[in-house]
Amino acid sequence: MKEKSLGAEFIKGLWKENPVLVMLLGLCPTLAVTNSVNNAIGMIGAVFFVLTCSSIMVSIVKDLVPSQVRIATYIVIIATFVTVADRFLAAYFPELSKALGPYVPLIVVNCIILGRQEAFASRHGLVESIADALGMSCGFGIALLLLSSVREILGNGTWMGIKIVKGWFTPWQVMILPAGAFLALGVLVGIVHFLMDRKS
Amino acid sequence: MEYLVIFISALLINNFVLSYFLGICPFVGVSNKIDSALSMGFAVTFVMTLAAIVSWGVYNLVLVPYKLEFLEIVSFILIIASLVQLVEMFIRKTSPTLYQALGIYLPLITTNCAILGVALLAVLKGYAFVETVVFAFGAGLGFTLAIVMMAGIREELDGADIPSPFKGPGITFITAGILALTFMGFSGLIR
Amino acid sequence: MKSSFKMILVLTVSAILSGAVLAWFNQFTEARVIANKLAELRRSLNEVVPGMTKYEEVVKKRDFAVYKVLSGDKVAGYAIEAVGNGYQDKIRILIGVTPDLSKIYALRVLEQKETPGLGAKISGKDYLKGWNDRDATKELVLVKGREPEKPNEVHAITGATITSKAVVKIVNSGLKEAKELLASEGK
Repeated sequence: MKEKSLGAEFIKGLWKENPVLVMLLGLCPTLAVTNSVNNAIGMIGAVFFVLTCSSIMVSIVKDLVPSQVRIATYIVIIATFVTVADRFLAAYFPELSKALGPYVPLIVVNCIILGRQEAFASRHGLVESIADALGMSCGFGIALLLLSSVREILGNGTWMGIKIVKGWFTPWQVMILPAGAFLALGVLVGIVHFLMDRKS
Repeated sequence: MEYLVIFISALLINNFVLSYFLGICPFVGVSNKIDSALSMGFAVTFVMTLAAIVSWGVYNLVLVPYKLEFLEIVSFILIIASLVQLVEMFIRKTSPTLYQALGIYLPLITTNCAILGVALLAVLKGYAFVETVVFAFGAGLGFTLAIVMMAGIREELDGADIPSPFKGPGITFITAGILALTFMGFSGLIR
Repeated sequence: MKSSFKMILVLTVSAILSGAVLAWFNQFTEARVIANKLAELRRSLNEVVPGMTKYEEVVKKRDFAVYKVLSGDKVAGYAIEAVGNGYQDKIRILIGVTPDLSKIYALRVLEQKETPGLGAKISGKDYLKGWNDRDATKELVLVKGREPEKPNEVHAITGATITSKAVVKIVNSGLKEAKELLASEGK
């Protein structure tokens, strides 16, 4: 474990320990904002910012915080960065902020972020924590992009708002409805498990 | 009448789990047995209603008058975290039986997005006090309904012959998708 | 004793730091957030009442608002914000009307969560066009299966009857409330 290189800390988040597809964490934003690729990108940006900043802070202050109150302290740190992200989106990207609605504040309780603080940043140095946070955000990003692409193409015939499927295709509207989110994620998780089983 | 609309809407039409995707983590984690699903559901409903009441008070009586709305997220999450602790201590002291039934689910509730979700949505929708309570209670019961239905289906699924990659989470999500489709039938219930 | 003191200290310090950071950050964003909201309102008002230069708030409640829209010095019309239950969730609508509230200029949907591809078409141009220049002296009536003929008729969206009905209902009740309000104020 200790010998792991920085590259390995980064890579593991992408596939083997992908927070969404394998560890099934942070599902509520995953399902809620993947009805369009644009929304997903906004969410990825916010999570990337919050996760990286919180990991940096936590790995700096980890020795100062008594273990009984560490969760509470981490939550305060995370909530602070989430508020910053939320206010920033509301000020500079009002449309996106409206579309994401309460799901930006809800990053606070996103299990990925608290989970990484508890499992990683509080036990490792600054540089490893940054590598881990970057890897995890990228893994989160990959999962969201995949899911939102599938849902937007099938459900709306568009990708990032650009029409890509011609007239013969009738969009499956169900895919951009809540039900479609569950169906798409279920199939995606199934495929990931299938690929992993075959590898091992 | 308006209260009934809010209640039905939170319970069925905009079910927290199946259409707002809040509380998915326990929904996937605890929904394999009906008993535990029911206990989790009641614990969530209880904490949710309580949290909505307290955070409504803090938001409207403290944050708004002093123009501190930007502290909304920080204060709500702290309220929920300390509320869960208090409830846990209180139940352990007063009712050991209840503690045995609900105790293990309580710590999980802090990071349940449904609780924070209720508090945030009530502010976003600008609900007054009673509306907030009705909304939170309806949302909690909606969560219970969804998780118990899911548990019932999953108990049956145990014996089913599912392709191995889809066992566990895969089939759970697909089942949830079908449940969400059936819940769409409730749309238009209020006109 | 010492450890509990440290616990309290750490929590207090982190809470104060967090509050300070947020208060500092809020200074930069707050003005912009408010400006965004105002700009959005201005844009919508401009879309429903032609020739707007400025507006005044007449009433503003959670589910109902009336704005007096001015073009230069004279009143160009009123914009009524009305809310009601749709198929899925609340629908929020802005109705632009003439100064005497006899005719609807145009309609905009500010907020809706209707079914994509069906009810959600109420935000689309084709549907909203059907609301231009409607007669507001009588109650508006929804017509299905044929084109609207009378000036107080509006067309329904195929496959989204409930949503279409809801919009008409919201408009009618919004207009009624606005008429009562402006009549009681002596305009």
